[in-house]
Amino acid sequence: MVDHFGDAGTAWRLCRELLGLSGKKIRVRLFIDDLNTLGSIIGVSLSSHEFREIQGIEILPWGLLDSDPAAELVVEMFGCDPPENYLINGATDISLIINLDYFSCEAWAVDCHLRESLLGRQGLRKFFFMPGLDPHSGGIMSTSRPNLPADKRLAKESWLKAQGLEPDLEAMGCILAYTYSCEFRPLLEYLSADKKPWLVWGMGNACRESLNEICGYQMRKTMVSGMPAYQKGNCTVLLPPFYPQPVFDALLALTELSLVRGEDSLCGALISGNPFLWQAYPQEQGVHRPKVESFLKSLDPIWSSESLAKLFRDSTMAFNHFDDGGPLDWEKIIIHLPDLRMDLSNFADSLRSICNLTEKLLQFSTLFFQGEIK
Amino acid sequence: MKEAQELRSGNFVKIGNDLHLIMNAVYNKGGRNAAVMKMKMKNLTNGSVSETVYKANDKFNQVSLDKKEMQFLYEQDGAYTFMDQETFDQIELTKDDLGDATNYLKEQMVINVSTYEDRPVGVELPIAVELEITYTEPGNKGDSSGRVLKPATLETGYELGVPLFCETGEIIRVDTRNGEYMERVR
Repeated sequence: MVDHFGDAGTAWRLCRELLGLSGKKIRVRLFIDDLNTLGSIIGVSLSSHEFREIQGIEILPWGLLDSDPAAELVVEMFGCDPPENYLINGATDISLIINLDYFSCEAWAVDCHLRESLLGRQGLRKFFFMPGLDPHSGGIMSTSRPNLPADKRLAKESWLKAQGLEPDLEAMGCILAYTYSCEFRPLLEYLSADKKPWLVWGMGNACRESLNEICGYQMRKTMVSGMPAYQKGNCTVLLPPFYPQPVFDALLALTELSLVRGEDSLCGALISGNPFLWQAYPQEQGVHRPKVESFLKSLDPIWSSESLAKLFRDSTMAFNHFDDGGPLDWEKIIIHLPDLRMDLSNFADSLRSICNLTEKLLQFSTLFFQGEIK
Repeated sequence: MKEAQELRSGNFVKIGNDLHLIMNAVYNKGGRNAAVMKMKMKNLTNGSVSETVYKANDKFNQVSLDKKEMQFLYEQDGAYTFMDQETFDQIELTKDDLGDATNYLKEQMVINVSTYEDRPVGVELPIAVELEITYTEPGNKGDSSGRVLKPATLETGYELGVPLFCETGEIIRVDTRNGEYMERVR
């Protein structure tokens, strides 16, 4: 079903949110074909053959789906197709299939949200569910993400302590780097010479490799709280171990700036209300460009000034390696972090209240099972 | 069996026991999202019309209906009148019956009309139709690449993007599968 940390993480997050928002009144089973990846995200070791129940969620290998008793509600994620046998055997039990697609702000995706496929069988009906930022889309997952801390300094200290890190790192500005590919050199050079001390968290293999390469050449190798790090001037680059989902989520909520990629970390950055730049999953011939452009367009109304909107737009295009974004102006971005935060945190509040994916999914399912969806 | 992405306006498919006319079919794919087909379908058994979505590789039972060659005569108040080329009998189809086909129908055009249980239910479009541009902004003769498009209105009222070199009064060929410009005829 999934082959990426993002996909597995999103599936796990949905399970957690479904269980939590339903008040544990529903039974949630996750069938997945990459248990190792899921195990890393949860922070446990999962064997490929056994049934496990973790945090109230039943986790099963994808291969067992064929012989499993059917559920009333089936959520297909990322274009996976449940085996034909499962649908045939469960034809009398399954009432509703939700095809949950990837996040997109494109108009066609919003238009397809909650449209029905007539290819259900017998009593079974199937609907498309399209995540996005428009109130008429499927929204994004926010319930499982930490609330905006009332006292960020305390929250940061407590997070650092919980990870066994020195709490005085709290005084440093925090940048999370989790990207596909990024030219980090200009950013690190700027941070090294800045008056404020900065801590850059390098996450994900691609990003760590890129940082290792640049830092190894330009910066002093050191250790910070037992973790490999590089240091130059006022910039420290930290290469922490893989963090399970809740730890990563909490870090994302505590940053001054996040450089995120894909879908799940983008949604986390949006919900955190902290400034961020996003890299869409890169595809040949710029197929992903409309996705980036529609995302930027959907954020246009949130900005308090045209200059801030332009800064975010140009920076995002450049961060996605589109030529018309011009070079990334890291100095300008860092200087305007407080302004960006102001507008993005207002937007985060609105997303939490009107764009909660799991709430929307449960509301639709409830209406469906009450016979309200004709 | 046909994949959803191969279907287009005017095709008929059987879902369960019901026959459906595809009134409009649009392919969408963006970024990592799975490609989907958005289709407006009319259930010919109960007359209901639905806006539906399918994965592009979903499989359908396509059905071929009886066809009669007919000439499109005129449209009045949403009723489209066709004449049987053999018997000269006239029949009417509604805008709903025709779906997107109304974008390409011009008077005197000869076209296949599909019938179901002896009643006309839709038309089968040719893959390409030739239509006159009735309005577009003056062209740029220097640009022959065709990569940059400008809006144009055709004689049927349909609006689409055409290359900058196209002019009002010219005939172009339009792909009825996606509604896009194919080439300039003259």
